[in-house]
Amino acid sequence: MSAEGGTVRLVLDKVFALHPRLETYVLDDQRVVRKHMRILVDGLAISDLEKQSDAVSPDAEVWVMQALSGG
Amino acid sequence: MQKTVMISTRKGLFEATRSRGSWKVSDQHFLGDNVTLMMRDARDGTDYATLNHGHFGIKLHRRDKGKKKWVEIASPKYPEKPDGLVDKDGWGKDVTWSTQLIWALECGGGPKAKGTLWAGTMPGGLFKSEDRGATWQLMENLWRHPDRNKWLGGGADIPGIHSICVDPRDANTVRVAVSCGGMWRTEDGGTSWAQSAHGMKFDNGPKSEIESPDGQDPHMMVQSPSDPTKLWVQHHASIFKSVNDGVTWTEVKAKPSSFGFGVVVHPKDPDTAWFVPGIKDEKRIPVDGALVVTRTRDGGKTFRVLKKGLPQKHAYDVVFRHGLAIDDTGEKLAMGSTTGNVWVSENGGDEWMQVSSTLPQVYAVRWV
Repeated sequence: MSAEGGTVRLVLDKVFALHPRLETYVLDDQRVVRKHMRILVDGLAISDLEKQSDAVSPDAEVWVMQALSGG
Repeated sequence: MQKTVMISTRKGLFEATRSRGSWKVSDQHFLGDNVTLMMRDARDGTDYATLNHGHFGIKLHRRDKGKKKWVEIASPKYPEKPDGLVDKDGWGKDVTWSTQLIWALECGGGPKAKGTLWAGTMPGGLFKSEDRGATWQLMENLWRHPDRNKWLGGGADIPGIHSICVDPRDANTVRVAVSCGGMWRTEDGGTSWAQSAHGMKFDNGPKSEIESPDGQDPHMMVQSPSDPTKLWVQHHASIFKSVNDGVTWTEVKAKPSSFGFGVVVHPKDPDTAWFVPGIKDEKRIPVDGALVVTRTRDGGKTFRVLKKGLPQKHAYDVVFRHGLAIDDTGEKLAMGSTTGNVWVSENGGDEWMQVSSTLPQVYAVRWV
């Protein structure tokens, strides 16, 4: 899907507005990226896990992935 | 009459029922997911299940009476942590203001309080819902109590509330047990809170710590429905009981061990309670590899060791604090272990029947 926003947080907020339940899966109660979640912008992991202020250019591709662990 | 055992496990929620003389797993929900607790609200027949996805956080699901479909609802959520606030636990570690486990889920009050629920969490927040879990409110005055910073994780890394007893005489009186943080009591619906673990004690450590209520580690607390002045606690160090509304506690010793996690009390007899003993405390396995249940019928003066039907050789089952349950008649018990064994007794623990030996690790059992 596509969403507009100059930072990862702004992009995420657009997506969460359409899918409210999704937010708690990606961010914790303080809106920090959950520890097993990984967000990449054009293939590079974001550095600001707390506020997701990393810049997003208009044509950037944002990936939200989770690690797999445990038995 | 409650006829079904709901079994919350590392890999799903399972149902067990009696069929042609034996107990069997008969249904399943959330297969593959980490289900930590299940609760049925007897006031309206609603089922609740708590999931810990790990990656995706803690989720709560609800199923209306008679329906098959579960619906995800809101989970208890911590408020925004104020900028610059220094908030440390008893170990001196920063407290993360985010739900990391729903460790207790209980109905709040009688028919008049329909839809009221309580949830105890890690890292120590107590939440109340008055709308069947659609929204949750943090009990701010307990969370912001200065002594909350003395709470610390025991077996777990962080502290949490695992036992909630809403007083059957007055729903504004609520008692919660904290590992490790003692027992806290409110008599005004959550406005004011006081420590109430006086008398609980460890058997080792610095003198100042042994009897300090704030550091006590009650593993599980239950209140007698038939005489609510009486409460039982399976503590890290021993068994404790109170006969004065949980104001003070006295130690009770049992053989083969007073260490364990779970405790249940007979719904009609406050002096009858069951425990699952283990070797204290770094081993945490049944004594001599023989799984037993202990039962007192005289308020802790004497205990009977119950083992018929339970494995007596090379059994290393641990029964977690929510892994022992009693039905509303006081006759049927259910027990689930870390090694995926589940048993049912239909005669107060005298004899046990195996339901399964192949389930995932069991966190909790409940009769519904």
